[in-house]
Amino acid sequence: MHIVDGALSSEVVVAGAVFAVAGIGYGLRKIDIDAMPRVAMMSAVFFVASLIHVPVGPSSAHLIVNGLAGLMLGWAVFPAIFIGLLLQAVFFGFGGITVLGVNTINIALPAVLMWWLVSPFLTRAEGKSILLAGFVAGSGAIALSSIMVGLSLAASGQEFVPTAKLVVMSHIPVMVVEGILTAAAVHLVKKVRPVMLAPVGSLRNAA
Amino acid sequence: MPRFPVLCVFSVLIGTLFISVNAQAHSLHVFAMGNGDVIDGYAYFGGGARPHDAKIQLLDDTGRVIFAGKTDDQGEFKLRVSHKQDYVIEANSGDGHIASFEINGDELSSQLPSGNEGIDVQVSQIDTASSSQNEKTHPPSTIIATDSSNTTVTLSRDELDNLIDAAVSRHVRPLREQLVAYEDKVRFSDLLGGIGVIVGIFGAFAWFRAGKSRPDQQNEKP
Repeated sequence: MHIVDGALSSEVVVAGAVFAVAGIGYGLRKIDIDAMPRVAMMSAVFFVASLIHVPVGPSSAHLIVNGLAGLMLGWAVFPAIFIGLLLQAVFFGFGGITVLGVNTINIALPAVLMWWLVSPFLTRAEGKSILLAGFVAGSGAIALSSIMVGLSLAASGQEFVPTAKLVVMSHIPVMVVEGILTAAAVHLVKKVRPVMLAPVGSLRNAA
Repeated sequence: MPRFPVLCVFSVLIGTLFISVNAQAHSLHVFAMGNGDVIDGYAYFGGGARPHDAKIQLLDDTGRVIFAGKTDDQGEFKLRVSHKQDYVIEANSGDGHIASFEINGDELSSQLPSGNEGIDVQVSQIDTASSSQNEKTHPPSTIIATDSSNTTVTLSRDELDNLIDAAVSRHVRPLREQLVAYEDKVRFSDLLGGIGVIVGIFGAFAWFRAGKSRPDQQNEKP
């Protein structure tokens, strides 16, 4: 999921950086003071979860939790993911500094999309359909991210179909695990503190 | 905020921390070592899995690609080079992961001509499966002349150098592998540091926001 320095052409890197800056700027404006701990916590969860590493077949995969982060943060997922990625790059050489923009887009944009699609449904959902919505958001975000990684590599000159196939295939186990994890987490949050699933910007209006 | 959910979230967070102490980042690494006129090594993902048929490239000290090929099913490769100089091996698993590793020219046999700029270095890939046996049986049969009357062995200086080089590299190799693996490892202290930095960044941001957006409310408080 984390593309490294040198794998992408400079056009893709620059385009990614521009879009990422726009997304982060928009996300930052959505964060109010009450939502700050939530953003920080999801950023930390993302930072740690991406480092848990499971060997899967010939490759290896890790959790990303971008679906869950999206549901909890909405647009604020952009700065959260960015900070997590930045620290992973600095501490572990995981991903890279120049590709930060592309990686931020690849991980945060599907999260926002899932939030936009699933969140309205989730606020009304009850019982089992909460689990279903969580699963869809969790696995859908990974699937979209994988396809976007394929697209970014394709835009840099690699063939799209085999590359995307490779990335998506290696993330199928992650999709399943992440779907279950997101479903469980959403179910728990919905039960004990539903306000955490409210869009970040609207907390101020509600209070 | 109710205490229960916060507690839950924190216990999950701390739980994941302990799982990940021994975990490694999903990243591609490559290890290689020079031995005689052969550079051999392997590509691997963090955690130990090996990529099948990853692309590899050998670069000379000017950064020119002098060889492109693939690893075998075990992620291993073996290249024979014609000149002694520093090389860089680069592996690409095709899904956005690239790794590189420097091979110091000193690791290669001193009998190879040293490569200068502009020299065309000949590189050939050796089949990793079949060559491992040849490598071992080949040198004794041709280099060592055995005196049949007693068991003394006469060696030329070069032959002796070769043998010593091979022996040393065989013993040093596991050490170097261990060192590289240790460097790649995700460490608990780094994780904790990262979380601390995240809390700090958002804390500073919150402080900044709090001071800016609600000065009147703060004044009202006793």
